[in-house]
Amino acid sequence: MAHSFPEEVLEHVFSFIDSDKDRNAVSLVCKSWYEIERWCRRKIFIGNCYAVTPRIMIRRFPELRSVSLKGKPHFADFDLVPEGWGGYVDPWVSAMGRAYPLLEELRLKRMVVSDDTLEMVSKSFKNFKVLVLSSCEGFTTDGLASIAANCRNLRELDLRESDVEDLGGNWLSCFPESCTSLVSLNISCLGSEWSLRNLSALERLVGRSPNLRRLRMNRAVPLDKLANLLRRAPYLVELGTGAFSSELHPDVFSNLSGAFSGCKELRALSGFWDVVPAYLPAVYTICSGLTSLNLSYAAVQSSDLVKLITQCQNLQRLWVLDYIEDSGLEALAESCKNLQELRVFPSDPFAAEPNVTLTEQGLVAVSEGCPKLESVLYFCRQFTNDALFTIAKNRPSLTRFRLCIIEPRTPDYITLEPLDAGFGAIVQNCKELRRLSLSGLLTDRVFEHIGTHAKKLEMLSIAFAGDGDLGLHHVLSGCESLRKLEIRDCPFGDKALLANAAKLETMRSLWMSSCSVSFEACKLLGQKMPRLNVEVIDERGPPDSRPESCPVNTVYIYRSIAGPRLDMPAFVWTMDEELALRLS
Amino acid sequence: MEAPLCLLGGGSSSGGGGGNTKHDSNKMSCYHADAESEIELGLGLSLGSGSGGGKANKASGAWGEYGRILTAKDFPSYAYGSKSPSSPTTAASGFVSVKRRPIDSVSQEGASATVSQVVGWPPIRAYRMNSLVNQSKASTTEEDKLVNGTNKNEDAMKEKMQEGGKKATDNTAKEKGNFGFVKVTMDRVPIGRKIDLNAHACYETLAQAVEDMFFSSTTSITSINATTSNEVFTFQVVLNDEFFFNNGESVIVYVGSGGEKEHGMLVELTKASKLLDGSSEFALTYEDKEGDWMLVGDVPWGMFLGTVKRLRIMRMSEANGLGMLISRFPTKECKTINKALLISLMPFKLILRQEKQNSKRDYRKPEVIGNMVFVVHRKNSLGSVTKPVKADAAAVYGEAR
Repeated sequence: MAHSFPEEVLEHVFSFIDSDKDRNAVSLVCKSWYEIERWCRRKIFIGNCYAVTPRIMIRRFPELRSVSLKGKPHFADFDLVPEGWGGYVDPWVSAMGRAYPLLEELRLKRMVVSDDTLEMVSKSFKNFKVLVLSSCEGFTTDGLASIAANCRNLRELDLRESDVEDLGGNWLSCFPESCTSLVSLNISCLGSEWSLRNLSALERLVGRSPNLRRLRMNRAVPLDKLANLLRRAPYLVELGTGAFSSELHPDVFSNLSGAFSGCKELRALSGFWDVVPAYLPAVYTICSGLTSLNLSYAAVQSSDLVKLITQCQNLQRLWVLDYIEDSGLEALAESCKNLQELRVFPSDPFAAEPNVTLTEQGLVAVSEGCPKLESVLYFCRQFTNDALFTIAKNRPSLTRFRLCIIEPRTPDYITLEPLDAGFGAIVQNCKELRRLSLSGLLTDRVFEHIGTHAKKLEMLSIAFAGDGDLGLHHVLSGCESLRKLEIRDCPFGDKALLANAAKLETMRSLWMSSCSVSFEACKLLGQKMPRLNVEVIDERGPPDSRPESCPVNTVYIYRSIAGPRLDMPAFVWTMDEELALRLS
Repeated sequence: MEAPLCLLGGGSSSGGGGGNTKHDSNKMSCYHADAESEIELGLGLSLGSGSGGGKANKASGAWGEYGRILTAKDFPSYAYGSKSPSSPTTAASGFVSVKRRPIDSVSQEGASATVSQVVGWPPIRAYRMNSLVNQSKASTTEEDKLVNGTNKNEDAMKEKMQEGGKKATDNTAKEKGNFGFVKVTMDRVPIGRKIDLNAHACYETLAQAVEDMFFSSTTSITSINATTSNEVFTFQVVLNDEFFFNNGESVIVYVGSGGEKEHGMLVELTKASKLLDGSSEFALTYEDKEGDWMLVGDVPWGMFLGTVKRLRIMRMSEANGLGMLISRFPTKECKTINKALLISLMPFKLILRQEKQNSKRDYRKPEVIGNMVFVVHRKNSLGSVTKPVKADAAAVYGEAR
């Protein structure tokens, strides 16, 4: 009897429903619930900024307080998306500036943000609290200065992994003295050269922010300043250090060690650029409380890493370079029984010969010793099907498995066979697997396994794999939960794509670069599927200057109710009906 | 649920079917890109038959698998006289040129690219790579500053850094804080790219990488003219575009006929980078710290790294004031095999001459000599054959005189 409740009651009930999925379900119950829900929705996540327009968002949800947007496809991280492709946030901010004066939070990922946009943000939203720019670009420290200067109640400024142009100046000092609201500051992506003025501005800012709980600094902050900063912020929960090196001096060491022991709430540590191993013991006092440790910039040898890690009994997340080696991972498996996430990055990926002993053994050891392991990102140079069998058997609880064998198409180094069976075992045993990245020598068989077993898989990344269209067909027809599929350098062509066209509307996006999809197929897909945007990205010139059956360089297909976008650069063509008519 | 979209009707059989049959035989060949599989580049996609559905699969086995080899029958011939293969007698001068449609091969086919040659692989974010490289350089200098209470750990660490980080530090002569990636733009091309300077140790490899980014291999063989006299075959392979290949790379021209490499490798040419040797329409320039545009290659590599801000490929017509471009690097080296002589190498043409073997075949008969396959390959300085530029087949007719 939904209509016997007054709206206010329903609204109140809905306010306890946070997840987007649940909210979407609520809105489908009946018209009145749809109406009530849309007026009281405060948070929205838009996984592809071109799937919908600002106008549509504003029309449906007039009272948002928090907006998250993602722009470029994931492979933009690896330079596969040419500059100027798109992902501009400016039209969103302009529209929201008028429609949402009470907006509090803006979270952007892989979008292009300009200084003007930042200024608009800082001036349009009186109550602005949270700005997260993840892997964004296009702005400078001047834009940051306007945010600092104008956002009176700023709580969170997080620039993780963004590309910020440093124009010098001293934007940190633009935070007014009256600003004491900061809870989280992440400037780790900024440059490694800073003047003393910047440093003292940072110190003052930290000093007057009693609520500061997360502070990630950039490399320019030297070690001898760290102790002072820590003493000003003893309630920090997350800390990203600057450069972790200094001339060896007992005073600096004991000062630092003392400062760390004062931070009893510290749970996460990162930074550690240029680390001098002799200073690592300064953090020993807080190791037992650590749940997250990011040593992926620490070029330190295995024994030093092990000494540190084995003290972190409560560690749940570890990011580390392959200097840790198999022996270090074995030690990790012994000590850190709560480990949930492991990422091992390569220290020298382009070396002809391996510079460290990091092999499949390390990951097998961790899979054996860490019962809660669910997320893995592992770069290495060799692997075997057996190792994958073992990992799958040990850890059926894996939800994210990304294995990157550095040389493309590397087979099992013992049997010289493809790694189909190994990855097959992973998808078969790990029934909750949501994300998978493949590497090594792979034939269509692996895709058969994936299509058959990976029913909960949401994101799949494929490179240099497969034999032909059948592989792609297995994936598109079998993976029921698939949302994002990204493929590069595989011999997948038109047939599988066109045969599974309807599937593409159930996914967020499909990326295929250096495959064998012809322009003709793209046109057909664009014509037949009006709710898909089919973008051909090709820097060789207009696709119709080549034969139609010529493969395009990249095709990026995503579902959209916004229609073709209007901000495409010269090297992107959408295959809508009109265009297709014009070109044919 | 499959939407019944059928693009190309019956379509080719080489796509779906090929996938299965090829698997076993292809196990190793796609990994070890050996010469055999290189040559037999699939003639997939469009070649006249319109069956573009199945893409040209990786090669193995004989030509026949991939659809017919094109012969002059498929194309209009531009000959002075002869319009059909069966009447070569009308070819007065003996020159028959056959116009080809460009065949675009998928870039990765047959590639056994080393890790550093592939864009965006391994999948590591740029900021992480920059940090790593700059770190190993920085760490080494930090090590140098250590007071002499160094314990065993640090010595070992220093050694390790120098070993492990050696490659990176050898490549880096930059100051701390100077990231490896710089923007590269090309005149009249709207898209800019980024290139990691730290991945290169010299101008040659940098120029090669820049070329790879902006000049994709869309060269194809436009025509192949052949003439024969009593002693000699002369082939003139005309390409539709300037043929770029890089210093240390070789171009291998194969000639085979009827599916066999009867004549095998004819010629191996090694050439200096187009962008560096002044023979190109383009010049590679950079903007230095003072904002001036300079020609790449003027200063020692280390100094260049320290001062470069971004790169630009300038069209020569706009490169006035940069001073004369002087060819600084050795240009053509040609190794001839099977007694083929390189007569001339121009941006678009290779002219080869091969002496006839005194073999069974009597080439003096005025008839179709056979289908000759010209494959132009790149082979990098490590000796491994990289992606084939073009493969093409042409019927070659000749007339003895």
